[in-house]
Amino acid sequence: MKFEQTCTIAAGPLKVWNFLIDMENVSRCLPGVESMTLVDEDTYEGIFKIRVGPIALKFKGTLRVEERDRDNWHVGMRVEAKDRRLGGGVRAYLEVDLVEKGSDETQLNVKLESHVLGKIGEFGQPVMRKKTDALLQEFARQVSQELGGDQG
Amino acid sequence: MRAFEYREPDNLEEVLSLLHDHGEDAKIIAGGTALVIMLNQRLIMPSYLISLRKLAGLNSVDSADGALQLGALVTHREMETSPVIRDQIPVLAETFRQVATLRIRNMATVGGTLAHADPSQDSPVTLMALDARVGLSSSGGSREVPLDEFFTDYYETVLQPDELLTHVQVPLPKPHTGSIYLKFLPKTEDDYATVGVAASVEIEPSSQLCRECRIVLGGVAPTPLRVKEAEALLSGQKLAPELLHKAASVVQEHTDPISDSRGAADYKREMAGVCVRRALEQAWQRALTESP
Amino acid sequence: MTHTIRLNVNGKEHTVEVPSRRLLIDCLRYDLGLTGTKEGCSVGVCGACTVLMDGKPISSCLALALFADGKEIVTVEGLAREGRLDRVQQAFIDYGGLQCGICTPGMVVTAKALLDENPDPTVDEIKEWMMGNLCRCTGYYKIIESIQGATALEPGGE
Repeated sequence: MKFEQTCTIAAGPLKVWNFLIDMENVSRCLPGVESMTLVDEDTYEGIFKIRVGPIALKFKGTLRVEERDRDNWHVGMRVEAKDRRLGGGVRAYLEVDLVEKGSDETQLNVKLESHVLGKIGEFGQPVMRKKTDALLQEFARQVSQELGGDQG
Repeated sequence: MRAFEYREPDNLEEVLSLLHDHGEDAKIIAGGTALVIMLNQRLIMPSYLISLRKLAGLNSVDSADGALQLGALVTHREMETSPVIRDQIPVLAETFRQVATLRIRNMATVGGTLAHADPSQDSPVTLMALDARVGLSSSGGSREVPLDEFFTDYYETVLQPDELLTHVQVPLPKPHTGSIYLKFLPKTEDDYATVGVAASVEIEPSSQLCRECRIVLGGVAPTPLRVKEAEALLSGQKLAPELLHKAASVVQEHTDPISDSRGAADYKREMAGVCVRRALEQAWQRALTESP
Repeated sequence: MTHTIRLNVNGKEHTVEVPSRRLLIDCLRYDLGLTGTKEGCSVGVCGACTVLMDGKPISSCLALALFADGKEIVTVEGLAREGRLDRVQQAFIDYGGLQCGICTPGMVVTAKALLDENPDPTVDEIKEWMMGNLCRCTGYYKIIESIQGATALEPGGE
């Protein structure tokens, strides 16, 4: 499944970059993150919860920063997580790109490619899509808010 | 499936008390046709299953004060065949008849369907178009919720963990009202709808103008979708193709379907428009022919 | 948690100890050795697991065994009486309403329930009633003919 979200943040790209590079900020802005701990310079371990009606999913896994290109304001992260209770999992690649619109304006582009595996994938794949879309929307909104801007 | 404790209370107080004590750890099971699948696949793993099998008093259809009161445990098959329903609100019998297969309809209940809250289901769409209300009870009291405020998201409702849906109240249709449920199923007849439309049109008999109408869709949004903006377009108007096209366009703008095995999102949006036009036309005709 | 349930299956009383999560189909097949009922899809769609509960066709793969406590269950094994096939069974043989046979127990049980309720159904009524029973072999024509043929037979088979 592929997702894209874009929004405008009332802050310059450097400010946005420094904000996003701190995983604490990212986990705060992403709804459902229960914990995110640093393992080494580029790797984090975390727990992420998402709910679809009566079904509660709890993913445990790793996030690895694979690309960090400050000159081009580009970050790429790989996520691998499992829900052991249900025997399913998710594998995803998340790309964040910043585009300078002005000294105090940055366009935040988020691209996510995810594969939901196992039982969770069979049940409600389309519903997962809607939920993930909503999640990314919320993420963009939270980042916007924290950096004191309006949505574009 | 994972092991669970099973309880079969024969009175409502005990059901509510169990729900109060166990809350999120418990699931209610009525007909079980949706729940057992989720249990088998371990998508839900409650510690307690509270069966309503022995619960008396929630499985009758009663007519009182200009409305039908449907007990939550009335089965689809009972709704389909009930002489009271077929006589007083035939569109309801027609709707329940189109659900899945005979085997499912013999077990699945009116209340269970609503609590399951899959937006592709048939009966919630028609019930919403008929201005139904649901009765919810907990050990702390009861409340009534209009059905168009009941659903919140895919498989989610306003039901609290300690609440039980006990009945559905459906006002009898006013005179000169025609209603229809149209189930668009390009695949097999035993499936959920790709798009479902319930339309209800009340006309003023001498002028044949539309007094009021209801337009509700299934399968095109996270919950059954009522489009009041399209309803407003028809108010005070005469049946005309351009009007129906306009209403259909407005409906399409409000749909938010997902692409799945029943159709691509664009296809569903397109068919929502087509089906709304057809449903409104048929509902209007029914309203006209019902006039003396 | 185990429960003791009492169910009448094909006219015979049974007392069975089952865990709460036991499905009716598994209780019939494993606890009672009645393997005529087949599991096809496990999600209630195909109809191979059809049994009658108090005369009504249900998907035994979607019913807890506990649901059958105090009820009358009829499986395909219960259709023949004293060695004589039920007319539905006889008609399926006479008219060739089966090939591989996997859907057949569900078909005949469902058809029997139809004729019990409506002894002389039209073709449309047969199709509507039988709509939830899937067959991958026959193309359904012979099944409809078999059910029509059954209506002409005496109930006990001829």
